[in-house]
Amino acid sequence: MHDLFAEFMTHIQGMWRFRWYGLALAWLVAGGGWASVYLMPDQYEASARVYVDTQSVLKPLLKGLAVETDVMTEVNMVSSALLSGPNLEKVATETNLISRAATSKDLEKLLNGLKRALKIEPSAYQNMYTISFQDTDPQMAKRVVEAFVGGLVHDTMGSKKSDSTAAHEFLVEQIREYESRLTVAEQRLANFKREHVGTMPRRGEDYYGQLQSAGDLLNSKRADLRIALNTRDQLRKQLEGEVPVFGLMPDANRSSSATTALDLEIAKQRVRLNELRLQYTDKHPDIEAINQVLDELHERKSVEQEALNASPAAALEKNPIFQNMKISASRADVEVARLQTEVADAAREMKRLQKLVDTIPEVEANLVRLNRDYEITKAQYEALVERLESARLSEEAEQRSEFRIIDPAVAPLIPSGPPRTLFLGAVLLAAMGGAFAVMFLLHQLRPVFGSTRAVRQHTDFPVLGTVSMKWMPRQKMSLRLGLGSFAVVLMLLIAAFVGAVKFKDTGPRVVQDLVASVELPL
Amino acid sequence: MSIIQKALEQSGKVRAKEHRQNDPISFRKKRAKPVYLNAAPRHRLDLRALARKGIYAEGDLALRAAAEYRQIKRPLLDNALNKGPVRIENGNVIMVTSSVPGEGKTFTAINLALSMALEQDSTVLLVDADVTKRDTSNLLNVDNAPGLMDVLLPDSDVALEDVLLRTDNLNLVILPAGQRHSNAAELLASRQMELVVRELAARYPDRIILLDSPPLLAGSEARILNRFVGQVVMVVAAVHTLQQVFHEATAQLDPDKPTGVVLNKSQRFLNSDYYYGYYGNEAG
Repeated sequence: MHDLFAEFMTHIQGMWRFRWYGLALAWLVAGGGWASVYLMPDQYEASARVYVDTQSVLKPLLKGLAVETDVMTEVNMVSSALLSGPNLEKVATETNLISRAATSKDLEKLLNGLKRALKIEPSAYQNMYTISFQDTDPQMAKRVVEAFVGGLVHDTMGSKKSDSTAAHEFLVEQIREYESRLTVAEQRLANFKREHVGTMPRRGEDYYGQLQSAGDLLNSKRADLRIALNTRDQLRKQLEGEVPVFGLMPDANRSSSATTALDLEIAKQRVRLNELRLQYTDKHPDIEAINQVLDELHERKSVEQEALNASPAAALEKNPIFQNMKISASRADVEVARLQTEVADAAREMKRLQKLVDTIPEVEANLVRLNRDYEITKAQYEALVERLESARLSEEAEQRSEFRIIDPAVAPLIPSGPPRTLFLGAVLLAAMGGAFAVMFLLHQLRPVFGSTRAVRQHTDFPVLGTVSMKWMPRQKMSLRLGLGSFAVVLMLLIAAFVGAVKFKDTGPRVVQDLVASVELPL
Repeated sequence: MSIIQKALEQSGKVRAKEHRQNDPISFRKKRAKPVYLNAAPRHRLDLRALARKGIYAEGDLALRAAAEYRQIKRPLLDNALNKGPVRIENGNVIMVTSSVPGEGKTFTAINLALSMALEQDSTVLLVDADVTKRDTSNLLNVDNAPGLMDVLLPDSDVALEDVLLRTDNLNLVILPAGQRHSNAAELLASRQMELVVRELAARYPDRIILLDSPPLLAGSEARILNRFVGQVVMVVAAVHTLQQVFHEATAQLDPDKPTGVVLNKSQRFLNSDYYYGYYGNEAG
């Protein structure tokens, strides 16, 4: 390690011989470099922020039907499409940037530069992008960004529109197809129904169900009929005196009056009489009145009874209970007749169904199939229609919000570049580097013996020894002087750098004006 | 050199005799002017002054410098005194040079000389062979003293001993550059120089002769000198000398002569200094 260092130092010593050459070169490079940095025209960056929402329109349309496109891909697609040759040329023409190109080669360079310089960067927020462009003319920068953003809006919308139009058309087409299919299915179903009108199943029941319920119906009707018959017979018997009815028949207890109404009246009067008798004596006029009534009633009753005894059949006829019985009997007859008809109908129906044991199930199956087909078609059709509708709605709703300019391009007042400090520093580094390079080069071109190793390496002579340098005071003085002056010049270079950096804001304009004023007369 | 010889040198008599007998040149010259070396004043090495001029390390740095040069001189001495693996001809004649000026040859040469002067078994002769720049002579304050050039001049009657300067450091002898001459290169390339070097090398086998020579790419003198020497020290300035330049320079050297590199002016970060303080606490 020590040897390496020692060798390194010999090289340094060798290069030191040419320090003034190096310094001169450094000054040259630095001077020229800094001047050119100062001559660089200011760059102005205009930028615009836009909001791009590609999801709204594309996704619902293409969901499940096509591949979903990624937002970034969409933007990339659009921006790379926009950064194509003809588009760039359009932007260049629109903003009059094209006037800067004289030849076709210049134009190519200009367009390439434009492509590289137009930056589309996503920002921290989702869906927000910053479009920026740098130029020496702030107005031009603004115009380019505006043109580009305008083109982007137009093209994105257009592409979206075309995409959505394509999807739209697709949907419409599909709907049409399904519509026709639906019509066909409907037709088929109608035809079928018409053909098998007699054998169409009742609502909610298939053939076997029908058979079953027909049987059940028959049975119940038959049962009903039986009951009705029984009832009718029973009533007939009653009428004909086969069945004893309480207080009705002539050979029954005659003491009881046929006229229950009269009896009731008599009872009522008797109760009244009793009440009155509690308060008054028999001599009271009310009581006497009641007695009279009672007498009359009794008379009527005995008259009636006589009449009844004379003709029991007539009394019977007058009997309301008897009359009711007669009504019930006729009703029972009617009922029986009705039920008989119903039973007959049910039996007939049963027979009919039994006859169709073969055909009805098949028909039912066909019907089910046709229905299903129809339902499916209908469902799909409805889904398509719904989607189209929702797409239309969302399209209408989103057309305004899918692409928005948040911050429009503004002509910048303050230059954003070039980074002069950086360049100035780079020039200084280059100057130093160049100085070192030249010193090293010269050292290599005119080599000396820096050490005994060098002597051994480059000559055939043996080394007797080394004698160290002895400095005389006079030599020391001149040495110091030399070193001092070198240091001073070097410091001047550094100072020039510092000065250049300090004046980087105002200096360039001065220098550029100076150059312009000199160039004009040329 | 043995201690006895040194002791005898002190007296001066034996040495003079030796010279007369063995050295044709000096003998020739000697007849004209007998010079007693022991009579010549010893040159004072002003180390303080050297330190002030930035050549010599004092104080905190002295330790490190001492250690550094100790390390550098060892292989040189081994080769010179035939203690190395291979016997090298003229091994005790070492030239200190570099690719281009300003890398620290003189610095290295002087310090190396001072370091070698501490040796027990040998002496050092530092020769300022860079007669044009003559930095060594300047730094050691012997700029105007007679030296190498005086010996090399065709009709010169200066003997070698006359110009060899002893210092107050017993082991260090200096040979200054001598008088200036426009044909320095040619003189250095002459047969005379060869003889001088040969004599210096042969006569005192345990004396190290350090030649502070001009840079290789700054003329042809260094290349010429390279012919006479046995070892070469290439001084390289760390993080300064281009490799390319170094290769260009060393291409001029004789590949058969052992050449070592000294990496001078090295500034290493995070050097580990701990071992410098181990050996003694003062340099030279």
